[in-house]
Amino acid sequence: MADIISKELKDIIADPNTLKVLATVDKNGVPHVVFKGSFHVNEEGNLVFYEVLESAQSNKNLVHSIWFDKKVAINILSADKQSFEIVGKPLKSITAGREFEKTYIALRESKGDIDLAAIWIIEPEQIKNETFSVRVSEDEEKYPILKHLDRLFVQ
Amino acid sequence: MARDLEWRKKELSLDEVIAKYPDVPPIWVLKVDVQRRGVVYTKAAKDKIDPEIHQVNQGTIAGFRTTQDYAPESLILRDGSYLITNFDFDNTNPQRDPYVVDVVDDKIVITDQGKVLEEVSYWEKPDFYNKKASNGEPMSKYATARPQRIDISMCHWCHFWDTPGEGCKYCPMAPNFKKRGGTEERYDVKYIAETVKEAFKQKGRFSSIMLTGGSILSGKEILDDELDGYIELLQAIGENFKADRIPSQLISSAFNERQLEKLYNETKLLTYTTDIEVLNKERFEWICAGKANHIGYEEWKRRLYAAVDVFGRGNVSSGVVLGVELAKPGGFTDEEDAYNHVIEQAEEIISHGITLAANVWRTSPGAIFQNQDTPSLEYFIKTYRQFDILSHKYDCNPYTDDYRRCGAHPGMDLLRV
Repeated sequence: MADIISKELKDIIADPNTLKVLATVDKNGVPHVVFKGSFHVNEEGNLVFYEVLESAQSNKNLVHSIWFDKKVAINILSADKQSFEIVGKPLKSITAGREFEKTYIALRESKGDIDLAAIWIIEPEQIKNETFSVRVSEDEEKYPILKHLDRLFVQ
Repeated sequence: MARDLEWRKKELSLDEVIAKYPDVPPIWVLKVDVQRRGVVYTKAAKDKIDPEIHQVNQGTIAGFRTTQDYAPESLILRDGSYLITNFDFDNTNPQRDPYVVDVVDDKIVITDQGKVLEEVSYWEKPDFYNKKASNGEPMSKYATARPQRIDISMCHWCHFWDTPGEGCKYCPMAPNFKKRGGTEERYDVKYIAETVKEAFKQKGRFSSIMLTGGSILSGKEILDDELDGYIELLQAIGENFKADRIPSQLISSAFNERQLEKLYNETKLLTYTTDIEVLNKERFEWICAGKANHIGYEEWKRRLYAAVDVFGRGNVSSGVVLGVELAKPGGFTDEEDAYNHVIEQAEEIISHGITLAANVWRTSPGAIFQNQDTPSLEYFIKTYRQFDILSHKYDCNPYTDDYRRCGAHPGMDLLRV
């Protein structure tokens, strides 16, 4: 799939002040939402994050997703309140090898005594601007019927 | 035995099994079938090997593979699990067509009848494979590696094979030792310790250490020499760590309570495995005659349960060669009958908090059972699926046998979710 994440959004995702939330579901459909600060975009335009806990619910749910070709969602909230939802599919879980070791070493240098369970690669399929002002404008234009009349009432 | 060219018509296909069991992952069903049928590599796939990066089987270090002289040690799937393929199978006259690892659109893929099924990658070689021990021998002689685990074989010969008829009938280890002219049963602990110390310098490479080897029956009490050998090795390894216990696994013969307590108290070993191999008393006695004659089926189970008292619930597992209970002429003659007996025994063992780490039985050249037929794919999937249900029911998961530390027991993958 083509690189669908814009340069502007890549910069937002790369900003350490941006909040990045991963939403997954388990095998019974129970949702799970968790912040993943390590999200970034790789050279192929895929989302990457580092799962440091083997037992993390997100890790289990991503395994379920990659097994059954299910989608996950990521929401990005920038420091200036721009929000984007990215829906995609896990492509790969890297659990060993030179890339894994390089990341493991870098993580321990920057974060201290932590481990690394997997590097997850997620292919984005759909991006939606969820910034509040943008969504309000879209809603006003697309659904003129969906509003309270008092907002239109001329006193 | 003449190859049955009609084998595909006589059992459910990969796609049919996937469709019949929609609650298990298709990629996992493929993994089980690759282990059952084996793989061959096209020239294009072999050309993708970079011997500077990848781990290549050269037929000298892996006792279970002797016939493929230049092939990737094994594969990694997209889900991060390891697909063990470093075993011999009769690739000149296989019971079923092996899968083919090929290159399509510059990607390494598993194929069957030309259909691309999954992308894979090759295992990478650890740094210590390029180093030599102080005696000048390559360190790869003293330890082997899986992508996240270092493996040490204490004894390369299994002494159940000292008495004709007592070797496990599915196992090629001892025959392969003879076939390759092996004479050195055990290596000097000094060089193994040097190798392990060097291996742990590679950060992020190893999350577990596994010790195993052939059975040693000698000693003041049966298995005492085997026990002492492992304790000596574990103590040498343990010197590298401050922690009281290290992520480690010993797969040994079934020690009694005294031996288990000695093992636990004198080493930093965390988990213990002893392989019962066959989940039926009568078939065990036929297939693993040495184990049956020297220890016995019920005693083997009893020692497993005793190990839980020593190592703790969740820290004991037992290997099973799943499918071998259907070998001829002493095995079950019907897959449904075999399934019912195996599940009954499995529940008894799992209920003690012991996980069953089951291999897919494949017929290995050199083994007594080398010309046998193995069960259908559906048999394996159905049985693994029930093992998983039982493992969840009794809350068992010794991580040492899982998808990334070991990789040889596909059923364990299901515990990932």
